[in-house]
Amino acid sequence: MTSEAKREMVLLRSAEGSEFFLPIEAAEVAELVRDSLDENEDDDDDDQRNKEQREVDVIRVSCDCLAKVVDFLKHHDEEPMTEIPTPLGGNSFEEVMPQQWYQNFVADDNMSQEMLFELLTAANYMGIKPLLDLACLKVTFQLNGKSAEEIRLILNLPELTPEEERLAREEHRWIFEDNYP
Amino acid sequence: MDDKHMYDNGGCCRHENLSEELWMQILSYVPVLEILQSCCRVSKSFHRLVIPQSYWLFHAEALLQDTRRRHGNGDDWSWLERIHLNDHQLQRLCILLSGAAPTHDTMDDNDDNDDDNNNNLPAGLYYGSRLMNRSGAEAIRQRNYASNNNNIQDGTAFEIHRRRVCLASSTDNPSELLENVLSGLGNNHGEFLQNLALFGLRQRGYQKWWSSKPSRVQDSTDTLLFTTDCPLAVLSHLKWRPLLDPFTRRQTYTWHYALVKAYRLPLHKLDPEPTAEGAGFPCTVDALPNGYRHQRTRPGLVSDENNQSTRQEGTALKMVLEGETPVFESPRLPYTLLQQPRQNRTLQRNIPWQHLVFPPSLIANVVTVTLVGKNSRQFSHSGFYACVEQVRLEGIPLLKTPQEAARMGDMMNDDGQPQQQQPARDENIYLNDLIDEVINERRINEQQNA
Repeated sequence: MTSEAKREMVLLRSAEGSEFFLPIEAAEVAELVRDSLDENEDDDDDDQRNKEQREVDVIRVSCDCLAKVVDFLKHHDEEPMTEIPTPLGGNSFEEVMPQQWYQNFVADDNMSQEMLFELLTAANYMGIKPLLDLACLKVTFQLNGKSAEEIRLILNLPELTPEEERLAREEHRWIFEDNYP
Repeated sequence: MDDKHMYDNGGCCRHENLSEELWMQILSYVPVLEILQSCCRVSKSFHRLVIPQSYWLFHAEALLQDTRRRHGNGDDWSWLERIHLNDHQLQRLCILLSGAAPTHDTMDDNDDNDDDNNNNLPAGLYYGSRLMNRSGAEAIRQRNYASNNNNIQDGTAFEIHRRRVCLASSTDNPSELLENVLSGLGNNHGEFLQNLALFGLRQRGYQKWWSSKPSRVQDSTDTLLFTTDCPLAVLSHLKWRPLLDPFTRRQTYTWHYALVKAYRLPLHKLDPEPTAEGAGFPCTVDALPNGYRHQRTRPGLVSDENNQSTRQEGTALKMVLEGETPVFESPRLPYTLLQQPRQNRTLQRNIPWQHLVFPPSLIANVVTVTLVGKNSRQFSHSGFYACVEQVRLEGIPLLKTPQEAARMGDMMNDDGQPQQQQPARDENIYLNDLIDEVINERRINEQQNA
């Protein structure tokens, strides 16, 4: 097993300028990193310099969020996340995602709702499919089984007006009315 | 998303930074039924997310691909774009494919429990028979449909057509039409019919089975065609049962094996006015002009296979399916009574059903059952027969519009009750009409004798 020190590293820089190092193999799960490194390698004039400076500016991701992304990427390199099936094939988050580390990564105790949404956006921006799937799955099970009112509370949304509610129900009347023919 | 103007409470909306694409991905994991019941009522932006047909098309295609991958069969999803399902149809399809609706595997085999199994489902997913009931089928068969005869140059002449919800490649006599195998008459009616035979009264259309024409050889084939009660339906399963001879109770008119096919025919083949509102409720096929003509043969004689009536109905069936490719074909389905103890084979209710579960996501409006081979003669000198006592086709309708859903309810039952209660009411009406007719016949006979 190659130690982290002997592996080629890449530097990710957050919006605030914080820097994070991680192995290239781990970082290249992210499309943003992969594309950025490919662009640098194509530049023949600075070939030597680019090999020594593998840096990627992740300007849209905050420091706290990027730290979590880096944690994810490092662990994913050691223990790849199983693909999330569609349909989900389970009634709870733990059933669908049996890997303990990933369960804990997005557990309510370890990640606030705001951070979860921030992580979702970061994963989408950086093109990290497994992280995106994991975060989407977590949000999904937060919404599953909830009424419209409960979902509004979770997402901090205002209520529909009575007219808006009526229109929404009318659109799917066959769902809501038990005696609909 | 543009809900920012509603943030008067001072709190930050947790979803405002997520793009619509992200929400689409999140909602792709949420069960379809929950999306429709809850998510579409959360906010205007959520509602807009789940409204476009593109969303449901994407969802349905993904589920169909997954279904095909998991089950190793099932329909090719490319037909979705060709047949133009509307939003509600796509939503129903997604619900069914995602496993939220019952299939045969999850339903109790006891058909009396259908009400219980449907209690937790939205009414629009009402699972039940997709065949017209018998009294309705009879009414359709008797109705005259006028259609413009394009061969007449002045364009004013009309040709009378008959339409039916089921066709058979052959039928022994008019009292044993294929409509007899549809539900809508109870067991008491069967006994009543047999009592009619004891009184020596002519039985017009009163039998409770379909019989093929007799065949000299055992290797002959008969095909039965059934249409659904709506333009398109997701089919779940098909059951059919051979007839135990009601008079001798000795032989059951079985077949070597059966082949089932399902078709998705265009509406112009299934309704005389395909563009009218409510077209395809139910689907009907063109019988022949001047209706069915029967030529009776003396009992015991083997009928001429070239009998014109056989050709006519058989021709009608071929014409309906001409040029059409089935969307589903079953393997050979052998039928045998050997698993049933001999002493149990003297009661019709103990004769086992033949049963086929369709693959998931099968959408069709016509089903054919081809009975290959015939095992039993009626008498030692008669031909071989195949007879079916009952057929049941179950599934979930895909309706064109919510307005047509309401119209379907009006057509099925004026009281607005679910379709399942309809057969009981029709049975009483049919029996009352039957009794009246018997009494009138007796009076006529008595007057003639006098």
